[in-house]
Parts: sequence; structure tokens; C-alpha cells
Amino acid sequence: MKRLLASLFAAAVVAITVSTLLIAQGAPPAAPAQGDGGRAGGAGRAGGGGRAGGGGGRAGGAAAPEAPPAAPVRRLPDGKPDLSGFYNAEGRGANYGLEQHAAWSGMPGGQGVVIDPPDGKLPMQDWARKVLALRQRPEYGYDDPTAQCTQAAGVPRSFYVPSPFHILQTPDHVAVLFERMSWRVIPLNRKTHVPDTIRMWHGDSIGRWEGDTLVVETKNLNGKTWLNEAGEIVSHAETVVERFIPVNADRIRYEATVTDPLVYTRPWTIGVNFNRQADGELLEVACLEDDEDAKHLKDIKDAARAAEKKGN
Amino acid sequence: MLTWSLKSVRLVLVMAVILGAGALLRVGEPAAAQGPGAKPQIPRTADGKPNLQGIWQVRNRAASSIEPLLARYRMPPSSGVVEGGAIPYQEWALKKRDENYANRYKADPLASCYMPGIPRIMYLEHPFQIFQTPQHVAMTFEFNLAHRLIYTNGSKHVDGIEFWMGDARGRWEGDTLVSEVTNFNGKAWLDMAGNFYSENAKVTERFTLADADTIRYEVTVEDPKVFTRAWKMSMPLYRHKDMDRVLEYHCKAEESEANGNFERVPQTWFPK
Repeated sequence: MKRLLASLFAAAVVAITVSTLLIAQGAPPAAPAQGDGGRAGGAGRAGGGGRAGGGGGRAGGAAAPEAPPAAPVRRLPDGKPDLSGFYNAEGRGANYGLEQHAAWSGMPGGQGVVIDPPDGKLPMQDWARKVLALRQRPEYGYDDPTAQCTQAAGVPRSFYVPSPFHILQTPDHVAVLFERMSWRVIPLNRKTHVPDTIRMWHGDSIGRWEGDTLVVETKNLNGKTWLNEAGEIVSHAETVVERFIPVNADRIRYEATVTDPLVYTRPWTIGVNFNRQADGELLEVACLEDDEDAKHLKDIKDAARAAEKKGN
Repeated sequence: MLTWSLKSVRLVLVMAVILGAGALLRVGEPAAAQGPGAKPQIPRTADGKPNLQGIWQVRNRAASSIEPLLARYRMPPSSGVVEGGAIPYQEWALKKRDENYANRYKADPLASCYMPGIPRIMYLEHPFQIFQTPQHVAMTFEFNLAHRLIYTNGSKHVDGIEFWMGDARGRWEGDTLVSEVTNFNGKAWLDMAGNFYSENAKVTERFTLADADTIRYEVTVEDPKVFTRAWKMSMPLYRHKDMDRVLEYHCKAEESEANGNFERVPQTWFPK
């Protein structure tokens, strides 16, 4: 078994090396192409695999058919990776729980998207676990702001709700238009965040390029958002560092590290993939304008509150 | 004599070099409008198109009324932006408009925080930001975190789907961005005064940089179901020079909070 794993690993290294060489031919030398961002477990930086074992040369081409070389990363005239386009996230059920979870209460199960800590569990403080259990009662469904058609789902949630988004990129800005009618604007040249007292659903973001990775720091969040329909928690102390790692022409590896000392014992990181759909176009989600759900959820909440009063 | 003329030749050469260098330097700077009739210098993108990017806002009261209108409660007065002053309504439509006006505090879609539609969102008293690539022009609005995506990639309108904000396909006509918006759902109003159009409307917007800090914004509305003829409005959009970013005004969320629909969560909410 060990031998089989070792030979599989060797084959993978050869395949990645070959595809890296192929990709490098089509890319500017200053910007090495990334390997597949898929992570082999643990919390190391994604994309490192593409640079492993440079000495292999072309001899090992036999392994190539198993792992067809990914299309090279798209680039803008200034040499930066071009992230623009219409994308769907492989949310893997994150909108119903970031940890691995079974289907429950009409929500789909998920394999979990937490990549750090390595055990895939959110390092929640005890009080937060208690609040989370409370939020999972039916009468709390209405308290998820998205249930009341708050279009901005929060950071990072807007990137894994089951709705597509469009990324637009200029030399000094990245703008993301979410189909649920909200946006994020990421300036690449700004130095300072807005004053601390200004708090927003999508916060205040500043981005920068680290090699081929777009790194975005977000502060000024309002602490009102839920991380998903399961009710996982963030507070106004939340800050987020997101990494947009272009894997190939049609895929971005997205990783978000959330630091929130009021709720968690340590920072944690999720990772999902974004897949580009070349012929995709944004439609319009008119949540509030067509809403029946919110009324229904409010009725459940009001009934529960009335029952509580009666009980007293 | 000979030495004098050599000297003068040298002088002329030196002057020519200075003038030449001056001319070269001027190539890189935004040449100011030179003399009457000269075109104002406008910023351009790498592909030579007028660069509309930045943060913009109107300075008029079209949000209250696009026709001239006196002040009303929570409705500042407007001198109007419609060419000729009045919108050429069909008879039934004028009655409907007056009905809308009478019921505006409840019937206006914006009173329920619904999407403002096009062109209304362009002249709300809220800033918005424009982003521009060869394939798209995007706008992000303070109001309701709404956005627009105008395709300038030669693509066609979608078929058979209606939207509050319509479907916008754009093209450059010289230095003017022309955006044709169709596929409306017929529910949006044009202002707080109840002016309206139907799902049949075709709205053509023209964005022209009058100078580096002003966009001339012109709108033609065609809707044979509601109007007797096509009509136009126009207004300047002014660049915000002292604004870092567009902030968020999430109308519905603020309303929910004001009405107590969001219960304050002391553990997570920002204390203020």
C-alpha cells in the first residue's frame, strides 16, 4: 500500500512538473504558473506543488495523460493574472455549515470547507457554541439577515452562497458583482481603511498582489451577518484575509482566513474553488421584491415568542 | 560677420532645442483646451476610450421629480430634467401617473426599498462608482448595494427574461458610451412623483465626458404603450474628488433594524 502511494505521488510530481513546464512556455517568466491549488491536507500554502521537483525534465511524459495539463492562467497586458469573468463557487454545502455536516432540516449536507484547523472544526469559544445551538431552532431562521433579504451576505459568505458572481478587474481595482444584488469593491492602491466607526455588511477591503495571488484584507465589518443558514457566528471583531489564487484559465482557488477573537480561540481558514463559465451572464435576484419566505419565517418566530409569553 | 552669424545660428539651435523639449514635455500632460472651440482634454483608458471610471453623483433633484415640481414632504423641489418640461403621456397614463403621485408614500417601489430601475438609480441622491474594461462597464451604487453591468462586448439582449433593472447592452459611438436597456418588468418608477414606464420601454442612455470631471448623461425613453412619442432628459454627473470609496446604504436592512425586525445581538454587533 505504501509503495502504491509512493509511486502515485511520484507520478503526480512528474505530471505536475511536466504541466508546469508546458504552462511556463506560455507565460511571462516573472510569474510562475500555479499548480492545482487542491491541498493535500494541513494548512500549508496552496499552489506550492507546481514548483516541486524541478529536475525531472520531460522524460516522464507517460504520466501526462492521467493529469492533462491545465490551461495557463489568463493575464492582463500588465502581466497580472486576469481574474475577471462569471463564476460559480463550488460551495460544498458551506452555506449550510462550514464544518462537515449531514443534511438536516431541509438543508443539504456538506463535506466541510474548513482547511485550518486541520481537524476541520471551527475553534469556537464555549458561549458561541451555545448561541449556535440556539440559532438552529426554527424560530431563529428569521434572524439570519439573508432570510430578510439583506442582499449582502457578508465576508466570506457572499462567495459561497449558491449564487454566481461576476469579477471585473482593472489595473487598480477588482470589483465583484454578486447576483443577489450586492457588490464588493477591492482597491489595489489604497493604503488605509475607513474610520473604525464605519461598519458595513461587506466591510472595507484593500487588496494587493503577492506574486500571482490577490490578497485582500477586510475590516470594518458590522457583526450582523451569519456565516451560513446554520447560524455559524462572526462578530464585529471579525477581520478577514482572502487569497484568490488563479489555478488555470477557468478556476480560482479561494481561501479566507477569519480572525475573530470575540468568537473563536484562534484564526481559521476555509477554502473553496470558483469555476468560470465563459458564456455565463449575471441575471438579477429580486429577493425582497418577490419575497414570501421572510413572512413565513417571521410567522414562525412570532408564534414561538407568543408561546414563550404564554408559558410565563 | 561670420562669427556673429555662427553665434546666431547657435542661438537659434539652442532655442529650437528648448522649444522642442517643451513640446515633447507637453505630450505627456493633459493639454488644456486651447482657444475657443478646442475639445476639452478628457482622461482615456489604455484602449483609447474615454475613461469614465471614478465616483459620480448628480446635483439635481430629479430623484424627487424629473418634471418641474414644487416641494412636498420629504420631497425637495425639482426644476426638472425632461426636455420641454413635460413627459408626453397618453391620456390613461397621465391619470395613472397622478394616481401614483397621490399614493406615492406607499406605492413608490423605493418606499419598500425595492430596486430603483434604470434610469432612476442614476439620479438618486447617492454616489456610485464606475469601472470600465473593454468588455464591460460596471457600476456599484451606495443605494441598496445595487449594481449594473453594461456589456460592451457586442453581445445581444437576453430573450424572455424581465428585470427591475433591465438588461443593458452598450457600445461606443465615438467618445460616447451608448447603453440600450430593455427587458424591464414594468414595476419600476422614474421618480418619487410617480412618473413611470412599462415593461415595453426601451431606455437609451448616452454617457459623454464633457470634461475630466463631468459626464453629460442623456436618456431617451421610448414606450409606445405609455407615451405619445419618444422623449429625452439630460443632466450632468459630477465627479466626487474627496471620496475614497462608495459606502453602503442597505435600505431594507436599515428599515428592518429601525422596526426591530433585527434583534440587536450584543455579543456580535458593533456597539454603536
